[in-house]
Amino acid sequence: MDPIVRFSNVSKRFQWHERNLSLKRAFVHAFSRANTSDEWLVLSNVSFDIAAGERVGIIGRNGSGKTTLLRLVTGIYTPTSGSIEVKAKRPFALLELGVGFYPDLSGRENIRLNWVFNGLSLTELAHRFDDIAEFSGVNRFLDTPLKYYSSGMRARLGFSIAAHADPDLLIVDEVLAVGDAEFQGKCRERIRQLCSQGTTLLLVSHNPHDVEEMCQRAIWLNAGSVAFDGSPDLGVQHYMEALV
Amino acid sequence: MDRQLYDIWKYRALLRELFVTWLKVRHTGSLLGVVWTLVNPAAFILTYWVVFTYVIKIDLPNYAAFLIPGFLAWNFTWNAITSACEAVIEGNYLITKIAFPSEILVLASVGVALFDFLVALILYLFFATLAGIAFTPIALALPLVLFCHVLFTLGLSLMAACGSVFFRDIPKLVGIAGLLLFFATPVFYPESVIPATLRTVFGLNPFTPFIALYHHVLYYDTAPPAHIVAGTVLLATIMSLAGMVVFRKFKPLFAEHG
Repeated sequence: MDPIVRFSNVSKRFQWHERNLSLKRAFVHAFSRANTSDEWLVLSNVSFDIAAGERVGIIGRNGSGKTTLLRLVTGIYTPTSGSIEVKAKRPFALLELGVGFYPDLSGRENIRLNWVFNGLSLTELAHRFDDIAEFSGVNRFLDTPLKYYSSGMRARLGFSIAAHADPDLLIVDEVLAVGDAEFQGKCRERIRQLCSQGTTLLLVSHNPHDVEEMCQRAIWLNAGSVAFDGSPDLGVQHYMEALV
Repeated sequence: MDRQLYDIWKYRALLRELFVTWLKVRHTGSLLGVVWTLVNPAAFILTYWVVFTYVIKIDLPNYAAFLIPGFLAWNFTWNAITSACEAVIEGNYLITKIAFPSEILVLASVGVALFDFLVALILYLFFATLAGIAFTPIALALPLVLFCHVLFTLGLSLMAACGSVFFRDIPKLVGIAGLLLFFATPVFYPESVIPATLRTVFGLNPFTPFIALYHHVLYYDTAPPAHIVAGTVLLATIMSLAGMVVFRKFKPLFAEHG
């Protein structure tokens, strides 16, 4: 069977530009030889296949390219070189909880908006809405503007939407770090449940235990290269040894 | 291009939701709420109507009826461009976190500006009819005029929004360009007052034929001359296609340049 995600020799190079590059600067640059932009390689020659249904955790230090890798999978970034194939029909990326929420809209309206932001159809939402509300635990406040929600409530709502989108590929970046222990437990439980139904998981976590516990494979990214790709226990062990 | 159009079509529900959200959100906290959507254009139209009918007398019959439609059309274009630039700059956070076609941000901005324009135009037609202005059947060509004008504006908005991601001066330049071009475009004066020597220079202004369409259809009550119709159709086609192509070429870099 074809892999659901395939990276072949993927590199990603970023150019650093002065923030808020202005026309004046661009004009000056065009006539000066001084090179004021800086480049660095965030990912170099990354290759891997992820089979449908696999649960893969990505570990690595800050700045090792984990989030860049996830953004490449979602298509938010395009690779500088190499090729990426994503066969997922219903990918859902949780790079942050509650992206695109409007504080002036009610919980109900924000669920709608977030749902369509992720390219899902409103007809489907009609069947899913009650589950989302129920799971998020903000049932009583669905018609309250989001600005009166606590950050925990907002996070729960954000996760609940992803959890009920029936993704075939779930991409999760560090979002398990927010919320209290109860919420985190509920999230883990729900992710496990989705995976048991066949969802492919691509998880970035700073907590090695998450990867050990929830994944069947770990990819350790070190300074933009794959330093290890294999069993979570071994991956975490190598990673922890390298840290000290 | 078919891929780009397909993606936009796939996210049409998002376009609708964002459009509704932006219309809703901009009046939250105000007492009148969405009523402002009517109050603002009504105040605009009535002020210009009263001032140019009773206070300032211009040597053009029914000057207010000449001025207002073109002025509203002008405001639509510049409101659309400005809000499209803001939408992609403010929406950069979204662009780096969710994979969706960022054209939607521009389309929704243009949609909101168009909504305001249509409300104002309908109010104007209503007031003008009350004031005894008779529109002729040529006014039925208005939807066609709007169609070309909207495509032209959409193209400009896509390009300006795209540029704004890389150069934050562009929204500021847009403001100044709008001010200068307002006087260089026959919006509040008829084309006939332009001196013959300057006609060619004015002829290069792409906004002139669009405003002329509104003048012909709603004020002069004549079918616009063929060269104006051909010019606007051509400009609308070129600008909207160019806008789409430019946007498609540069949007993969949006997430990296925020």
